[in-house]
Order: sequence, then structure tokens, then C-alpha cells
Amino acid sequence: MIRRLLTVAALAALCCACGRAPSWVEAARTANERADAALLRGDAVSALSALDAFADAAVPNTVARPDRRRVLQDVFYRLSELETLVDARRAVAYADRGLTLGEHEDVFTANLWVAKGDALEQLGDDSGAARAFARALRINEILLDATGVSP
Amino acid sequence: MIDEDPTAEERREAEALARATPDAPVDAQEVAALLGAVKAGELTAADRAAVWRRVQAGPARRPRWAWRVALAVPLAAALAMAVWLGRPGASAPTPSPALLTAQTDAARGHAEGRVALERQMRVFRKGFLASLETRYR
Repeated sequence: MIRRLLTVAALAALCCACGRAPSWVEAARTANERADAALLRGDAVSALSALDAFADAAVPNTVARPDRRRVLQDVFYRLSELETLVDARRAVAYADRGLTLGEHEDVFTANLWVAKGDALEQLGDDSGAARAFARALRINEILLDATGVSP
Repeated sequence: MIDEDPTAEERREAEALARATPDAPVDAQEVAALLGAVKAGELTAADRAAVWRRVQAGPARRPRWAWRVALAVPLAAALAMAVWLGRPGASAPTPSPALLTAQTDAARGHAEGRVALERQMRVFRKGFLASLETRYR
């Protein structure tokens, strides 16, 4: 029994480890390019569906966690911003999905707070929006300090 | 001590006992022989106590190393996976001052800031994904 379980676990680990990171990164680039092209045509629906499909795709285990977080947070930021004018509740949900991947003092996390602030503002939740924008500004200030630019 | 084959009756009793206690650590033949010995009065009190201790002790244990291997293999695999997943990611390109300024404006609720942020992010994203493609090539 133990031997069988070990064999299955080893095979599963091997299969996951063999997931192709390059194709996932390529899929991220393609999804973003498709979204850009769709937005140039004024087709927000296609932009949303391209990014949404990528967000739901499995991430190979060979992708380092920080890379996974950054790529997906950027996609959720875009999804949230695109959804804000259509369905602000969904926009908040997209921002939250991105934030649950982990908060860091970087552009990706700050953008998610901006997107969440926009969506909450759209919903009429001004205090929630102010709190979200304040979180974004706090990170933004740290990043500006690091680059030596005064806001 | 036990030198006779079990009788048919003893065998039946042993099989019944084996059916009633499927997890018993001894097989039907041994039980049959044991019953035979008990009936023949060949087991001393000390023998009976020894048999009882053996039955209570349960089946013979697997060698300790087998459990160590069974635990060590998945633990080593989990550790290797944790190290692999926890390795640092590709260094993201440093955001440009223009991007950060646009982000400041967007976080202050300015509509033009949001448009500028998206424009700046398009450039930043391109560089970031290119660095990832190089890393994972």
C-alpha cells in the first residue's frame, strides 16, 4: 500500500515538475497581446475573455512563485480595470483574487489596490475606495523613494 | 513440543477461529496445532503466557528502516519541491519614474492617471515578460 502510494506521489510530482514554464510565459504574453489588440478595436469583451482564460489556466510547478504572482497579479489588475465600468462587483473580485496571491511592495500589488479603489468608487463605497487608494499610495511612495523621484 | 498433526475437529475449530478473528497474527495451521497442544495438556502455564504475550504483541513488525525510507522519500520530495518553488523569481524590471508618477495620479483618483498608468504598464509588461521568457527558455 505504502509502496503504491509512494509510486503515485512520485509520478504526480514528476508530471507537475515537467509542466512547461516557457509555454506558460508565452501564453501570458499572447493573452496580453490579444487583449491589447482587442482594446485597440474597442472590443473590451474579447480583451476580458483572453485575460480571463489565461488567469484560469493551470500554472506549471516549474514557474517560481514570485514570477507566478507577478504575472497573475498583472492579469488580475487588467481584468479588474476592464470590468470596473461593466460590473464593479466583479472588478472588486478580480482585484481581491490578485491580492490573495500575496502583497508586496511592488508595482503589481500597488496596481491591484488602484484597481480595487476604482471599482469600490464605482460602487459608491467611497471610504473603501479611499482605503484602497491609500494602500496603493503607500507602496507607490516606497517605490518612488527607491528610484529617487519625489512624488 | 507439538509433534502430532491436528485432527479434523481441531482444524474445523481453527478455521472457525480464523474466520472469527481475521486479523489474528497466526494462521489456521498454527492455531490448529496450538489447540491440539492445549487439549493434549502439552502447554505449561509459562507456554500459555508466552503465546498470549505473542498474540497481544500483534504481527511481526516491519524492519525500522522500511518506515524510515517510507517517511524519508516523500519528505525529501516535499523539501526539494519547496526549495524549487521558493527560489527567487526573475528580477522584475525597475519601474520607470513615468510609470510611478502615473500610478500616483491613478491612486489619487485622476482618470488621466489611469490612462497613463495603462500606457506605461504596457511598456513595463513587455520588458517583464521578455525577462521571464529569457529566464525560462
